[in-house]
Parts: sequence; C-alpha cells; structure tokens
Amino acid sequence: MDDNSAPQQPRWPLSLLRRLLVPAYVDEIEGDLQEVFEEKMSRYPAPIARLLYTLELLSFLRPSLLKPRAGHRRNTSDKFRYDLKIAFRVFARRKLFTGINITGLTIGITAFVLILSYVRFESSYDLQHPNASDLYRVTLSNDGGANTIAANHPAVAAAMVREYPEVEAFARVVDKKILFGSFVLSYHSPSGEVIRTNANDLKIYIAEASLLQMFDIDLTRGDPETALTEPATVVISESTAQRFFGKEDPLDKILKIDNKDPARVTGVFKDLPENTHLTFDMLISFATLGDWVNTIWIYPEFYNYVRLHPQANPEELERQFPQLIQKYMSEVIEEHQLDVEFGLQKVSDIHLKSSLGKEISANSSEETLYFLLIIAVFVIAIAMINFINLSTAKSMERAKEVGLKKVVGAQRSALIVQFLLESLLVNLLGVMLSMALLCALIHPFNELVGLQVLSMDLWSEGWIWQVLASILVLGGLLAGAYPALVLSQFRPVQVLKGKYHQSKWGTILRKGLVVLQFTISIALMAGTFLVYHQFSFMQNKEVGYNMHHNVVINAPVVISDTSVQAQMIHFKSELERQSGVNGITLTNDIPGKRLDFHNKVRRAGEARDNYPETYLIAVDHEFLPTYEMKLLAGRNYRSDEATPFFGESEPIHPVIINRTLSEILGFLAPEDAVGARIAFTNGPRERDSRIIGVVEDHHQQSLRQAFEPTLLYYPKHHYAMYMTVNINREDWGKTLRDMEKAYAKTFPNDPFNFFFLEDQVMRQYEADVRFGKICLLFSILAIFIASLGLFGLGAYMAQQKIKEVSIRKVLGADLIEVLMLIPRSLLQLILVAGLVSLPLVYFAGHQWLSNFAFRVDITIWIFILPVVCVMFVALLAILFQSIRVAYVNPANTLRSE
Amino acid sequence: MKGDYLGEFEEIVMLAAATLYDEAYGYAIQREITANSSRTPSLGAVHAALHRLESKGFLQSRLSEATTKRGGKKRRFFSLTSYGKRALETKRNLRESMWRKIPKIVFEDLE
Repeated sequence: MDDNSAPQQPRWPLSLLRRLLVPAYVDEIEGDLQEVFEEKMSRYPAPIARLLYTLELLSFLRPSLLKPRAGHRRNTSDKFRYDLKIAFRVFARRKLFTGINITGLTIGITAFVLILSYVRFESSYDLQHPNASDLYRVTLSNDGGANTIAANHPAVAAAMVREYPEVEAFARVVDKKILFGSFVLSYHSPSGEVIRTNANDLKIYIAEASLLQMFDIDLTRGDPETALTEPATVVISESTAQRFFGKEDPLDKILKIDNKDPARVTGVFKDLPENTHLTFDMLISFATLGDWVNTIWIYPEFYNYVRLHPQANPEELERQFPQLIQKYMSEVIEEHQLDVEFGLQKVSDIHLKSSLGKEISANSSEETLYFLLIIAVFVIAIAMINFINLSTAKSMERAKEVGLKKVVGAQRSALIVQFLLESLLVNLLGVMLSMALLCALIHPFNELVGLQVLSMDLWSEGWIWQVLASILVLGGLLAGAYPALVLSQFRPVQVLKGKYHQSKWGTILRKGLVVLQFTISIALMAGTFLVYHQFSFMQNKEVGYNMHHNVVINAPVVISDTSVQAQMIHFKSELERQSGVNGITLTNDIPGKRLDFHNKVRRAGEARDNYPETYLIAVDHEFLPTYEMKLLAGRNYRSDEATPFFGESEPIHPVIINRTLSEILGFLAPEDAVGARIAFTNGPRERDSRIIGVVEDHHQQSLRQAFEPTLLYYPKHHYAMYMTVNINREDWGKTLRDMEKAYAKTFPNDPFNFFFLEDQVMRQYEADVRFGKICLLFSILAIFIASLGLFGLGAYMAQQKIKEVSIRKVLGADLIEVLMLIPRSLLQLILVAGLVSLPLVYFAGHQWLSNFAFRVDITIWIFILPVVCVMFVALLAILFQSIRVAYVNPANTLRSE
Repeated sequence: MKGDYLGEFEEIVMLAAATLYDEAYGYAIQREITANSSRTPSLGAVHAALHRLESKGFLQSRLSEATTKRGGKKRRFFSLTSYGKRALETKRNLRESMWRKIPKIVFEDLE
C-alpha cells in the first residue's frame, strides 16, 4: 500500500480473511498473498490475475485456519451431548415405559402412513393425464336431473366441439358388450396354432383414436398418429399382446373376431395403471362402427369425454347446454317426453365422487377415505397420548434431577429443551422403527387392500419424508411440550426437601386423556362391529333367488351366425339329459350385477309424460324355476309363449314384472296387475304387452341398492349371453366335467367359460369386505396401543399404591380387596368413555348406514360389546400389575421410611 | 489426527521447508513444491499443513522483521526441529530398507 501506482488487490476477500482467520496467522498470510498477487499480475492480464488470486485466497477457508467458534456455542453442544447421555440413561432405566412409548408410536406411525398411502392412492385416480384438470365427461339425465347416468348419446361430444370453441377435443368410448355382445377372439399363428379366448375375459371398448392422446396412453409399439384410426383396427395392452402373440411382434398381426372378422393390431400400449376409472385391455377403433353413430341422439351408451380449453369455465359451458339440447334433440324430446339435461363431470373426480348409473367401474367414495383418515389420526393420537400420560405420570422420578439442576443454575428454558429433546428422541426412534416396519409390510398391505398401493418406490417420494418429518417434529414437540412444562416447573427447594405433589390439574388432565383414548377405542370398535354386522347381514340375507346351485356359462354367441340358436338348443338338450342338472335357462342378463338394459314402460292408455323406467331381462320359460323365484300372482311362461320382436306384425307380448314395477305402475296388489296391458320400449319402438305374472322382488345387485323395477320378456329369437344351469350340489365336479365335454362337442371353436353365480354375487361385496378388514385391523391396533398405555399407567399406579396396599395387608385385607384397589377408578373412566362415545357412534353409524338401501338397526349391543371388550383388555393390563403389587411382602416395602 | 504420524503431503511440505533452509515461508514452500512435482497445492493447504506440523512439533517458526515489501507484512519462516528431522529420517529409512528388500526381478521387466 506504500506504492500507489501498484495495482490494487481486490478488497473484499482480504477483509473476509481478516474476519475469519486465526488472528495470529493473518499477517503472514496477507504477506504471502501479496506476493502471490504480484506474481500473478506479472504473468496474467489483470482480471485473470485477480480471479486466480481470489481463488488462492479462498483456499484458506479451512477449519484448521479459521477462528474457533464463539465460546457459548461450544457450551450448547456440550449440553446437547450431555442431554443425550441423560436421555439414553433414562431410557435404559425405564425400559418398560420407553418400550411402551416407542412400540405405541411405531405402530401408530406405521398405521398412519399405511392409511395415508392408501388414501393418496385412492385420490390419485386419473390425475396422471397431462390435462387432467381440463378433462370432463358429459353426463345425461332424462328426467330433469333426478337420475343421471355416466353415458350419453354418441353424437353429443362431436356436436359440442362444433358448437363451442372452448371444447378443444373429444373422445367417445363404448363398451363392446353393448354393440357386439360376447365374442371370441382368436389368433391363428403362422405355425397353425390357434390361441382363443372369450372376449368377456378382457376389458374391451370401442374408442376413438383421440382417447389415446387425451388419456396419455403410451404406445410402446405403433404410431400414435395413425393407430386406431382405420376401421377394424385395434390397440392392445402389453399383457394381452403377450397372451396372444408371446414373443412375436404384435404389430400388424390379425386377431379374428368369432373366427372370421379380422382386426389388425395397430398399436400396443403399456398396461394401464390401476388408478384410472377407465381400464381396458383392448380398444377397437371407432371407425369400425361406421358413420351412423355421429347423428344418433337417442342411444345413451357412449361415454363422451371432452377436453376444455384451460381457461374455459365448465359451469358457464353447462349453462349453454339447454340450447344445444334444444337444437339437436327437440324431436327426440317431443317423441319420448323427456326432460333432458347434460352435465360436465371432471374425469379426475369420477373415482371418488361419482356413482351415477352406467358407471364404467365401481368407484370408491370420499366418505370411506375420510373415515379412514379419521382412524389414522385417532391411532396416532392414541400413541401420542400414551407418551404424554406416561411422561407426566413418571415426572416424580425426575423431580430430584430437576431440583438439583436448578440449584446449580439451570434455567427453566434449558430444562424444557432437555425434555423436548427426549421426546424428539423417542419420536425419532418410533419413526425409524416404523420405517423398517413399513418396508416389511409393503406386500401384506397390498394384499389386504387388493391394490398395488405401496412399493419400495415409496421412499423416493417426497410426501413420505414430509409426513415422517412432520410427525417427528409436531409429535415430538406437541407430545413433549406438556411433559416438558410440567417437569421443568418443579421448585428446587420443595423438591429437594422431598415435598412434592402432583398437581390436581395434572391428574385431571391425565384422566381426561385416558377417557379420550378409550372413547376413541370404543368408538372405533363399535364402528367396526357395526360395519361387520351390516356386511354379514348383506351377505347372508336371502337374495330372492337361488344363487347356490347355479353355474353360469357364458354363451358362445357369434352374432351373425344363425345356427348358434340351434346349437344352443342342442347343447341345452344335451345338458338336460345329464343327471346332475336340475334346470337350464337362457337369458341375456343374470342377477348379481347391474342389469345392462333398461328402458321406458307405461300402462296402456296412460299419458306418455308419466314414463317410469324399468330394467329388462330377456328370459325363457325356465327362468323362474331355474332361479327358484317366487311368483306372487299369475303364472310363468309356457314353453310355446316366446314372441317375435322383429317383423311388421307383432303379437301382444306376455311379460312378467316384479313387485316393485307393479307398484310403480300403480297396481295396489300383485293380483291386480295380472292381465293388465302395458307398453314397454325395446329397441326402436314400444311393445304392447300383457302382464301374465308378478314375481317377488329379488336383490339384483348388492344390498346397497333398493329393489329395482324389472320386467321379464320372452323373445323368440333369443340373443342369450348367459346360460344358467341349476346343478345338484352332490357330485357337481363330475357334472361340470360332463358339461365341459358336451360344450366342446357342440362348440369346438369356443372356450368353455363358466362361473358360479354365488361367486359373482359375492364379488359385489369385495370392496366392502376389504373395507371391513381395514377397519378391523386399525381398530385392533388402536385398542392395542391404548392398552399398552394403560399397561404402563397401571404399572405406575401400582407403584404409587404399593405402600397403601402393604399397610392394608398388614391390617388384614384379603387379596381380592387389595386387587380391586387399582382397577376401580379405571373402570369408571372406561364407563365415562363408553357414554361419551355413544352419541358419536350413533350419529356416525346412522350416517354410514344411510348408504345402504337394506340395513341393520343400531342396537344397544353395538355399545355394550365394545365397552365390555375394552374393559376386559384394560383389566387384563392392570390386573397383571395389581397382582404383582398384591403379592409383595409388606415387610419389604414398609421397611424403609 | 494429532500424534507423530506424518502424512504424505506433510512430508513433502517438510522436505520443501528443509530444502529452502533459511528462506522457508508459506509462499516459497508452495513454489518449491510446484517446481519439484507436477502438482500445485493451494496456498491455504500449505499454510494449514505448516501450522499443523508446528503444533505436532515437527517444525518451529520465527517471524521476520517487517520490510517494505509484502505491504509491510512479516514473514513466518519455518525450520525443522530435531524431532521433525528424526521423523523424516525414520520415514526415509523405512522406505529404503523396504526398497532394498524388493527382489531385482520385480523391476527388471521395466528396463
């Protein structure tokens, strides 16, 4: 600095060094750096020299050359280390309590994360599409919004794109069953091998090419631009490709429908994820249908998806729909007296919020998820309460430590930090153990819920770490706060004199928390009982037809082959000869599922604006006997009563209706309906018909649904999808084998495809059974954790009462009397909890049951049983401790005083 | 870290200090090492090593008088203590005795 003409060193790095380095070194280092700078300046242009100089300078920022940190900080780290040491000593000394705390927390956290991941999975449906927030489904109501269905007419979406600029794209999808019925898919390989499968085993839809783009379906083979654009082309999933073609390249291979109509594979997509409402194994190009669909305004079987412009307002758009309906549908409305409404439904909302008619797949309900979330919070809350209770209960043991620390100058804040640290540590152990547990539970949990909810990828997702971190921090601080405040407030003088009482408030709080725990446990248990009660009721109630003896064979229908009818009858007569077969009926639908066909019906002569809907089943004269359905009035069909549904002159069709339909149609008694004339819509026109019989209602679907109006008709040219065979339960294995043989003989090109009706019916309850299992599991966990806490508290209470017990024993109390000393107050708490949970369960249960058309009553047993159970478990936990205390020799405990 | 162990870099720093004898201060040592080997240690690393070696007792230091050069800053000259010299020698002896034990044949194929 003595030479002003010399170039200057950059200033800031030097001042940085002066501030950070050990002062004794600064001078010499600065000197060295000056030399470095001069040398660099002599060799490089100034900017580079400065840069090199600065880099060299930064190399001094290393711990060994830096100033040691300020003195008081180092002290903190010492205290931290010391606190940790104390914490671990305390844990080691109270193995039981620490064990209970950590076990409870581990289970609680694990349960919480499991439920959360399930809920997350359930709410992730259809969010993976690139424009998920702009995708909508157009719904339809024909009665002014009273009943809304998920499907709509095929012309709707196309018209919307024409009419509204904010509708950017559309895709129509229709279940192949609606248009093609059943068919057989086969692949004739060059080597002459034929691979066949009944198409009912696959989920097949007829869909527009735009669907691929709209739902972001990845083609692993084929061109997404051209795939599915031409008639008679299909795209298939990878597993379907595997099924037909093995390792061969599936592209441009020909699949044959019913052994003749070729369908060319133009693309292969990755198997769809489970979390989408529309899953399929195969899509048939929409062009296959031809042009007629584009003008059809009365065929509500097509799912219409539209993509709106990101800025479009769906409500605004919905308000314009009436004009659209007026423009295109006025004739249809006039003719059928409809009150048509369209609606827009967000695709990503479908899985949780939609339960319309004609849904593609069974959806979940948000309610279930909320319920599960509540359980999750409960379970973790119970574990936290354990921690609070046990820590405060045991606070006496720390009193002397606190007193002494205060005497030597500890401040309250330091003590609070110490106890919070302990609580964080317990939580940390809980979190780490539950992470291990989660890894082990991935597979069993997926099995339980029947979905691929969890995988090891869990750990690479951000949310799990956020959840665990917040549990750690929130749990550690919240649960730790109260014990820390209580423990740190002891007054040293009193404590060290040996005088300390627990505050009354503390005891009340602890009791309150125990009551809360038991309220939760009892409520969960009662809820689980209720859920199980309802589910077993649903599964065991008479469905109104015989489902136990019926085997259903998927009919081998080849649409255009008129010989099938004859073959079916031949096959039927073959089966009838078998000894194990009681009866056979051919129908186009079966119980145990939602009926596919429904339409209008009215009494003859009644105005057309009074137009109820009914479900339709095409049956034959053996339907009622095979299903053992009960006739209330009238008679069954005679075998010669089938009526033709095609051709110019139609007879009056004899029909059988069920009780609900007869009531809807306004007949006071079933007998009144017999002989009455009605008209029902089937295909393009109304069919005049006469009621010949009324049958008792049956549960077509699960008991969630009320009885549905149903009309049976007996068409001459029967388009049967199902053949139901009533078989003897004895020797049914042989009967089945014989049936298969007969089938192979009659239909050599069709796979024999059958199922037991009972399985089909029970499948409707799969989701319920799963839900029941989940409820059961987590309420058991909740009760287990609560009992753990009680076990700990019991141990503590026993310890407290040990002197009282000893004195009583000395004075001659007998064992039972002494044993009852501890549990009595506890039983009171449980009773209080029972009373508190009663209204909770009643209202929640009532709410839940209202989802079911047929439901159990909430009985008093729902409450008594859980209370008794919880009491039993609690007593078991306490009694163990009581007995230990009761058997103690008084001399040992009373000696020291 | 502390103790009598002499790391590889430390050894080189000490050798450089020994080479420069009376003129061994941080920057000079850095240049010396650069001149003798292909690597350029950062000046910070050299200083850190020097102070570490001093605290281990291998080196001792004295401050020079302030001059007009270097912005008037003093230099700290380092020199080997007898303990340091012994440590270097031990290390060298160990090496040499081990080198001697290597059979000739091992390096023959290099020639």
